[in-house]
Amino acid sequence: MKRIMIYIFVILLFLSACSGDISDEKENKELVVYTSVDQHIAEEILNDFENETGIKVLPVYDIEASKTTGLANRLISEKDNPQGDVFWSSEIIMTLKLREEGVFQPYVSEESANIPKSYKDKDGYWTGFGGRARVMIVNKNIFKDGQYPSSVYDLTNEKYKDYKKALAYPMFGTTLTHLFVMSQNWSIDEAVQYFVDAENNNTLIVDGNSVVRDLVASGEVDFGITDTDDAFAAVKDGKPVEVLYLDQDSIGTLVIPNTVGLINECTNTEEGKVFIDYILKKETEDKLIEMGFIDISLNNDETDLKFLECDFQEAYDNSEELLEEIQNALVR
Amino acid sequence: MLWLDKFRKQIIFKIVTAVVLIIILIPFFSIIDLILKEGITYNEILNIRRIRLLTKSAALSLSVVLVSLFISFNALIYITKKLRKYSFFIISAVFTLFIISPYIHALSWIRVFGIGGFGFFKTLAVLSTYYSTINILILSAGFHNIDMSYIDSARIYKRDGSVVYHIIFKMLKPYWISSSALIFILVMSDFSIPSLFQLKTYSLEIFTYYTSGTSFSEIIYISLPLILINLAALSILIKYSKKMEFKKRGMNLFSNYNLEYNTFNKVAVFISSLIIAAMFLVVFLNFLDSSNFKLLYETFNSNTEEMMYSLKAAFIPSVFSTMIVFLLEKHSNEKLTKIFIIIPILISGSLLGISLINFFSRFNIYKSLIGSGTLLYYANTFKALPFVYFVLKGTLETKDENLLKSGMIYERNWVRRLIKIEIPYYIFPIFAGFYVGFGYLTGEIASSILLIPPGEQLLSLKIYSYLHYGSSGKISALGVIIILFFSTITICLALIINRKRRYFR
Repeated sequence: MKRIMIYIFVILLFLSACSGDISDEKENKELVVYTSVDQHIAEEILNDFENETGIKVLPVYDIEASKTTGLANRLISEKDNPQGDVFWSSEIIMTLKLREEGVFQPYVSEESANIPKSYKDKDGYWTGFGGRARVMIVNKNIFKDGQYPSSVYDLTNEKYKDYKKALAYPMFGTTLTHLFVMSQNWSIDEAVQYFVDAENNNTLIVDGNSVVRDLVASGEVDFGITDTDDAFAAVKDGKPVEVLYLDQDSIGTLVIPNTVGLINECTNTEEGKVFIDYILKKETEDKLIEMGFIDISLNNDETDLKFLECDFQEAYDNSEELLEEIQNALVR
Repeated sequence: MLWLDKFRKQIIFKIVTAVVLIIILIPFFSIIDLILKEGITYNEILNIRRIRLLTKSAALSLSVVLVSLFISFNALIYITKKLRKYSFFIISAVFTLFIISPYIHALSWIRVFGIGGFGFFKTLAVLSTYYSTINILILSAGFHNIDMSYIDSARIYKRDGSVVYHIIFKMLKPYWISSSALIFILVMSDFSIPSLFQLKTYSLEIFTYYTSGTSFSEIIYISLPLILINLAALSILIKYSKKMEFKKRGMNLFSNYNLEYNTFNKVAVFISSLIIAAMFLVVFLNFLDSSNFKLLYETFNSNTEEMMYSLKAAFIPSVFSTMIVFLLEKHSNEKLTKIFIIIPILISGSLLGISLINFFSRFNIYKSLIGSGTLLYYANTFKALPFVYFVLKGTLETKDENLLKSGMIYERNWVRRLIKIEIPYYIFPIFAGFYVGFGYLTGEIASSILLIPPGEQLLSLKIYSYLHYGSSGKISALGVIIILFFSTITICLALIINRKRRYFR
């Protein structure tokens, strides 16, 4: 009998270790945030939010390598039984895909009043804030005369044929967004041809923007196009690099916003709205800028930066054929 | 009441078998459901470029298999012959190197190699050194199970140097062929290291389609050639893993036997040992070099919850899968179930995660399942099953009927007999199976990212998300913590098993 009791005790102990807290009782307010923002950045913002509002945040993070796809797929699969309340993305393309899949419900925050129209959904399914610009990162040891390349066209320019260059695959992340937007100004063929020409002009097509940064910072590559958060991280680490906004004397640079949306039929709708209001505040944007994650406030009209004109929704709507073309032309 | 005992036992095993079948079949049904929902656009699967990629992937996998076999076989000879006194610690360190994932190895090697250029050779170097650890673990078991009388006979006709490669290596065939087939499958399916070194492989092509939002049915369709090649490797693995034993019953070949080397042996052993030493230096010292004590302390303090959850998420499924394989392999004759156990190795983590969400999200209980981590344990058990099975299968197939009969005299109740006789008798293979499953799961990210409960985090996911910032101090500190944490667990478990062995004999 004693042994049986011991066995039962051991089994119960094991089973209790297997189970988590599945209690439905909610003593405190809770909020489930799915975020593809880099974990160390998101953690700090979510902690501040918890401290300020008293709402406990249960985050689900993505990893850099899966380029938001992991979380987006989870959200689509969970559509009929959603577990998340809010989706906070570091980019926009997957947000547009999720909107198309019916993952979001509309919510127009009062805090979004100053955000330009092209950076928010016309029906309120998502709102953009705090942008990262596409920049040229240049190794200063190579260009000692200070004449740095700074145009998106420099990757295909014969003048720089002998320089080693790098660009992320335009199949995901912000480079995909860049491709979509480029195709608005050019034809699909021209947009695809740009990447083919760049590759033929001694440009290494690499795994992500952080790889472009690392290659330029280490001197393995002379210059390349990346995002501001990656580029400024290299500057912060004291690497010999110069960062230049793209095409400031011509078409302007693409600014890719963070996006946030309230998940359809979520459990904690009110808490979700509180979070969206919080994240869209100018103070939160400023904090993200201070942390080096973004560098452009969309809540602020006073900026000298020249933005590339674009309509994200239209670019996404016309993306199917473009994606197929680029997959055929460039997939690794 | 022997008949009652037998009847109960049969019922229980039928239930276990049914549960295992359900566990394995749910993702399959869900995948079929996904395909039917999305439909397939019949584009061409293979064109010249993809055939080239597939060939390159196969060439990489074969090269990794050969190089890691060379390194591990020769280094193991040196460890067991010359470093016998320290072999316990060295093998424990190798265990630790195995348990920390390939991309953590890659992080260290990036600082030595850089990222750009020579992608094939860099990937080959990282994967070969990493997979040498699996080979060392499997071959060291082989070293304990060689029949010495064959070696004695061989030494009459051949020189010692020839005996090592012509006789011993051939006798170890089930071990190295099994581990090579396993490594081949793992390398063919891996995209993380090739992507770090900008090497275009077939699995990376599939991953690229995945990240660009291509439908799952199309991804499965594109994956078919890879799955077929892996199936071929799997059949080899099934054939040879039957013949492996992990009983640790014999003498260790090189520590108790004075075989003389020839010059080729000496050079091979020297080079291999040097490579293993380099791996230790690069992986361990690189992290220690770039993180200071204060950062380590802070990182440790802020990651205790992640450490405990990582341990739980790998430990519990490894125990479950070891129990399932042990019970089925030892007491069930259902061949079909055993075949199903190994099939999960062909399913990618992402697909598994999506299929489980697709199936369970139809039910109201889904919130509890995902919130309690049950789906994560489920996926991990599913993924660990084939690894545990390959290790346990060979040993358990060589049933010692006399032992079981003696056991029946001593203890009639089969549950007690299981606990008192069978498990202690098979403690080494059980431990080996558990450990291989545990090691594999500590680095698993693909299904974990999809099934992790809100508010929880795993060390593997955290370090992977920090990769974005290069080899910064934080990554290094996390790397050190992972190494220290899992090596402590490894050494503790090994010591417990080693101590208990005296009583089990």
